[in-house]
Amino acid sequence: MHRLRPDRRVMAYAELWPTHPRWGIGAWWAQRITGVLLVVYLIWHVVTIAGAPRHPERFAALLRFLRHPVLFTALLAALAYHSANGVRLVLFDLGIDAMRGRTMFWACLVLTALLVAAGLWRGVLRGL
Amino acid sequence: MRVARGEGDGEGRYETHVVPQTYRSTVLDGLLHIQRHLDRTLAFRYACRAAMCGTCGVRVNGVERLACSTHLSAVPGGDVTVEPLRYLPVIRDLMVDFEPFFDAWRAVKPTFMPGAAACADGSPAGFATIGPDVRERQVIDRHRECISCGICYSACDVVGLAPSFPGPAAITRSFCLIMDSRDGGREARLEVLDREGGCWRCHTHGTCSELCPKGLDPTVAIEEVKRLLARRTLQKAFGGPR
Repeated sequence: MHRLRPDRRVMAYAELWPTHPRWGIGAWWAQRITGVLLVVYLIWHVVTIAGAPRHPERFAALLRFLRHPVLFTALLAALAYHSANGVRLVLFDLGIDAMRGRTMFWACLVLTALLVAAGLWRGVLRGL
Repeated sequence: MRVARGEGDGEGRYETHVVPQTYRSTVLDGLLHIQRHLDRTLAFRYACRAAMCGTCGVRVNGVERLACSTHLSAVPGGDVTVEPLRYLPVIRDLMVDFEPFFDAWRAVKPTFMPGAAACADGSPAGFATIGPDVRERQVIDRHRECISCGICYSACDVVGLAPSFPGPAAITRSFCLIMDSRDGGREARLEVLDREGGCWRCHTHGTCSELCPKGLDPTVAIEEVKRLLARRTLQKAFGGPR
């Protein structure tokens, strides 16, 4: 027999005010913005590496630029969020929706934070 | 309470009223107090007062809710702003014209079309039944108690961006019939939803599922339709059972 899941029962009958009801549009915008940023970075990265043998000084300048802590953290955060949210969307597309969408989104943000922390830890160990 | 006022395409305005509030007062109680004691010209709809008819959908502090099931005490802050639903033409004050909503509803063929499995022997007495323990019934049950309140339609940002998008309620209704083995309109419905502006426009924001007053999950229904369409395309391309 079909039954509403407990969290849905709360939404349906307890007349509570929904917290963050529009998290989805935020997640969507963040996915688009980080996607565009990563594409721009990827093109820049490929062009710079392709020209590295002819312009080693440009390549060295890129490495120095990327070692800036703020830029490194921002790039890492964009990459981590885009990946984690992408996995969330693929799981949802495949019908794996064991948790409510909002819960999945918060799990995705926690995963993003963990990935950024792990990346920063590695970066610090390597003498960022 | 700050209530949106205005007629049709005319300039809108907000009027502020102070309404009494008890522990159980709802937004609808506030609107009724204004209409009965402060301004009899205020226009809004309601019927059952029990979140069953879906008539009193409004936006409360920017969030789509049924006025009858939203407690004033539950709304954060002391001020409550009440506005009509989005993407539907305002008739007057909080009353909107549901024609675009039901146009979308009609476009997805929302009525049952008897198929070969509908009647075992062609008579109403032989009408095929789907038991409560059958998986098909369980899938449909999760999506079938829509009250057509228009809350998901107003909450959906894609409806605002692409008016050809039928909206969560219409697709959910279509999905229930698509999954019903007695229905003969499955292919016709999938064709409609596969068109440009159909279910593929959904960006999976999930706002419809967050705000549905009946606890339904239109986002999941839309994803199910997308999966059915993807499977159908693969089957058409490579052959195999439909």
